[in-house]
Amino acid sequence: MTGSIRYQIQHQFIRIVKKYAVMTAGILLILISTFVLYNTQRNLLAQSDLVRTQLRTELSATLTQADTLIHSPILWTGLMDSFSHESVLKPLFQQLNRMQGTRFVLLDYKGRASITAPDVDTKALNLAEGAIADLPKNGVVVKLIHTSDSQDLLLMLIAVMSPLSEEPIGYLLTQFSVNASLQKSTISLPLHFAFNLEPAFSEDPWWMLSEQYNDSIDVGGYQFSYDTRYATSLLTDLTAIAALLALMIVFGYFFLRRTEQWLRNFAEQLTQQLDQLVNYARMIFSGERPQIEINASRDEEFNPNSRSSDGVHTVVKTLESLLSDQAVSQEKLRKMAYEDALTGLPVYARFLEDLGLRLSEPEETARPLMFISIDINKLKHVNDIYGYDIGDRTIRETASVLKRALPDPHLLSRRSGDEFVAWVEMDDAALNDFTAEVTRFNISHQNAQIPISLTMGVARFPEDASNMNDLIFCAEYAHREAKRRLRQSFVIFDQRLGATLIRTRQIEERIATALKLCDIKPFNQPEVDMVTGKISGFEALARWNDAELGWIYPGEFLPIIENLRLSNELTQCILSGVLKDSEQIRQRFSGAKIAFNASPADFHTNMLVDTMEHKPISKI
Amino acid sequence: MIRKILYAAAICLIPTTGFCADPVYIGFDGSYGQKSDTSAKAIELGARTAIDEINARGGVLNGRPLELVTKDNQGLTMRGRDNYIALASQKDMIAVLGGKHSPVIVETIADAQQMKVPYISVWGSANQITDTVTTDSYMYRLSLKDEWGVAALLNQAIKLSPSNPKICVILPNTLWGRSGERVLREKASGGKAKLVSINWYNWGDKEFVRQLDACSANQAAAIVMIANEAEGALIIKELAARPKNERLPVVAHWGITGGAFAEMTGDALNNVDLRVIQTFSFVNNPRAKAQALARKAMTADNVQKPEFISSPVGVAQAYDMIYLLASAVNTAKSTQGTAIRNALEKLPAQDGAIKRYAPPFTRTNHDALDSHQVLFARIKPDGSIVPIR
Repeated sequence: MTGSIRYQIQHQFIRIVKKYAVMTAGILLILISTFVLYNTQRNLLAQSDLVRTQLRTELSATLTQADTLIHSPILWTGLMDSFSHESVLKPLFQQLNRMQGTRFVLLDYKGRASITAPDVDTKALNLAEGAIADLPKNGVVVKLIHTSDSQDLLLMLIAVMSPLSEEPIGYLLTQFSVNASLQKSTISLPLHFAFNLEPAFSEDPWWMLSEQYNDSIDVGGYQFSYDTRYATSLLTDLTAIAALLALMIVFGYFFLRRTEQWLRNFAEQLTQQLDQLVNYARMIFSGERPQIEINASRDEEFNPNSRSSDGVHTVVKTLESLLSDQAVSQEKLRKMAYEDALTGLPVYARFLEDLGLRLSEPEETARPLMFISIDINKLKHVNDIYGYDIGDRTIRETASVLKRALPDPHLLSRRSGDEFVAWVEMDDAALNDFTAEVTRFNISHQNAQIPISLTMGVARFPEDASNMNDLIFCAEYAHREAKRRLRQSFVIFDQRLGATLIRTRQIEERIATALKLCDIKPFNQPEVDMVTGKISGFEALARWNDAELGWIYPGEFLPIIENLRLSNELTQCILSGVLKDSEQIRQRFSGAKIAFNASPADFHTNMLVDTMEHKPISKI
Repeated sequence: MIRKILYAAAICLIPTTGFCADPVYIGFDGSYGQKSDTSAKAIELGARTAIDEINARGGVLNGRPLELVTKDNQGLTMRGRDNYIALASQKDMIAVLGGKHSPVIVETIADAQQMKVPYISVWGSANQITDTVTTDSYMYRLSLKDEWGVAALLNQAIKLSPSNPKICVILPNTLWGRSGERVLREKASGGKAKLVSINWYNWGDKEFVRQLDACSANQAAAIVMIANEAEGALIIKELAARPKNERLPVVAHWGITGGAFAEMTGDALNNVDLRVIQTFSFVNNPRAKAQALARKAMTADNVQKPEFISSPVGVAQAYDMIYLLASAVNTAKSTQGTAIRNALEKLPAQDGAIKRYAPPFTRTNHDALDSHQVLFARIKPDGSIVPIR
């Protein structure tokens, strides 16, 4: 499998490692080689600069000295006079030639040595004599001789011109030892030096790094140029680089081999551990607590730090921790979801959950209970008069009063705003005690007593309802009934109330159809003029005679129609009926008026007019 | 060489002489190459005049013409030696004349003794020229000798300030200068002159302030100057530029008359009391030979008056010496050097332009002139050399 982790680590990754290791080693080698060679070249340049400067300085100084000498009347006199030659010039030249390196030789007008020094090369003297023919009057002839003991001797021949004569009266030969000059400079590099008057040097072997320069001397009108070549062996550098390369190859071979081995183990371990991890994770998520086994010795193979908390262990721990955290969070959420922040009572959802559990008990173990729907009367009034803090306090104290008063077992919950619900196991006597205790109480506020009253509706399980929804509904129905009755602080759901509820439901279920078919019809009740005793008009009264429910009076269906916002439809049915009846009524009772009741909503449309004109209903 | 052949050919063609024999050569090594030198040409003039006269009368050795071969030593000793050797090596070279530079001649003494061709100074005055070799010397001189010449300089200086004979000396650091110094010291120690300051210089020196300061500082009454024209001119000019009380009178050796001294010194000569030693003057010279020579020299020099003849001592001394050599070769009947040398020692008395040589040389005296010929002259800015009466 080319895409597997093991394959990728064992083959692709190792290939990348190899590639980059070779590239890195190559770049490193190139950098080091470049640096080493660059450094050697820089050293060579620096050293050659030093030597060049030294050489130029010495040559210039020597030539300056020679120039001074040939312009000296002492020298002129010595060349023209044997006494002066012996007594002045010879000691002078002895003095000049006492120092090592440079030699001054005085030649006569034909170039024969007149005053020389023992260590002046005879070749130099012969060369000088031969060079006189080429010598310009105010110039210099420069020759180079290479002695048998590998000394480079630079010969500078200049003519001695006296003011007395047109032709040279002698010549000064300066033998400058290039080697002696170089010995004065401090050269640390093993510098191979070559000096020549022409830019022609023997070719260096390939392992020599060399620099070649052409320098010129211009002193006192004497000009000449010379070439120098500076070379240094790269053998040391190359050996060092080769050694480095060998070292890199050896090291690289072992490194790659070891890395390959390590990666192979690592890949194996990793896949194993991942498999293990997946198993552990699966176990953890399924709620089991796995026993984690770490093979320490194998782990060492790829984890040299050898910590006991290895990868898998850590991951498992992390997973456990995550799960634990999740549990805590869930608990927190649960708490947040189950507890009312204001009263500390269980929230309605939890209450329902609990009630659900209780009601779902099997019939044989199920215990009768009462469901009470409670609300604080006029809490809005409290909020408006005393503020929301007192409103909240009222809710809290109400909760506390209710909780205290409710016999155990019970569960009290705030459903919303000022509404509470509770289930409680108690009989009617206990209910009376409870309602007596809680329906009215006071809350102290700044030396005042705020009267608080509660209204409650009670339904009983299983008498009134066999399931939770019905039970709640019955209690709320009773609660609404209590509210409706105003003076009654609580109403217990009973048979009568149940029948009313059923009939109301039946009416609701049928009323839409009844209105569509206009089963609710006007019953024209005559209006008699008490003076004349004659019928002066009729009032159309809505009457509904249902096939199943029988007569249903407006007191029953009108609130339902209002609730369901079906007034228009009712008015339309009544008016249609009135219009139908009106012809007959007018025939019999001319001038009689027919009155009918309309809802304010009927005037929001043109329904009344349109109906009377037999038109479709349009909006005003 | 071409010149020589042409010259010989010319002689052969002269109908009056009627001979066409091998010439007898006389060499001359002069300092022609020195820029301001006039001595070499003067010597050549004197020599050629004599040679022409002798050849016109039939030459030497029964009809062989004399011929002058010249060389230029440029004042260099080594060149002089080479020149002498070259000349002396030549067949029928009876003698070589030496010029103004004593060191050149002295340097060649050993060579002359070895090559056995007489070397005769017709200007150089250093004692060593004739004093170095005492037996069988090939060295001769027909010129001033420092021995008595420099002594004459000292005496002249004393005469300028007899009451206070403090003499300052300026001289070259050469063999010539040293020769002069030795004579001055000897004569001064024996006489009443006092050498208060001896100052050396080198050929080619450009400044003489130090030397003249020393003369003034030592309260010298006169200066004895041994110099050639180049340095002499600088000294006189420097002196002329000094305050009058420091312009000491100068008694000069004759080197300055061997070159274009007057030309180089100019009007400074008017401001300095300069006397120069001579052995001869064409001016008012009663000797017939001198007068005849003066006429020829004036023509050759293209001057109108005898006092304008350049380097007159060179002309006269060379002239007389050629005659002496002609006698010697005739006496020797050979052109061989040793024969000439011997003949010179035994020459009979004869007249010359300078004096009557009676005899010119002896076995012990190779100097033809003596202190009797000494005279002092003034050099004027126009170049004339006029004897002081």
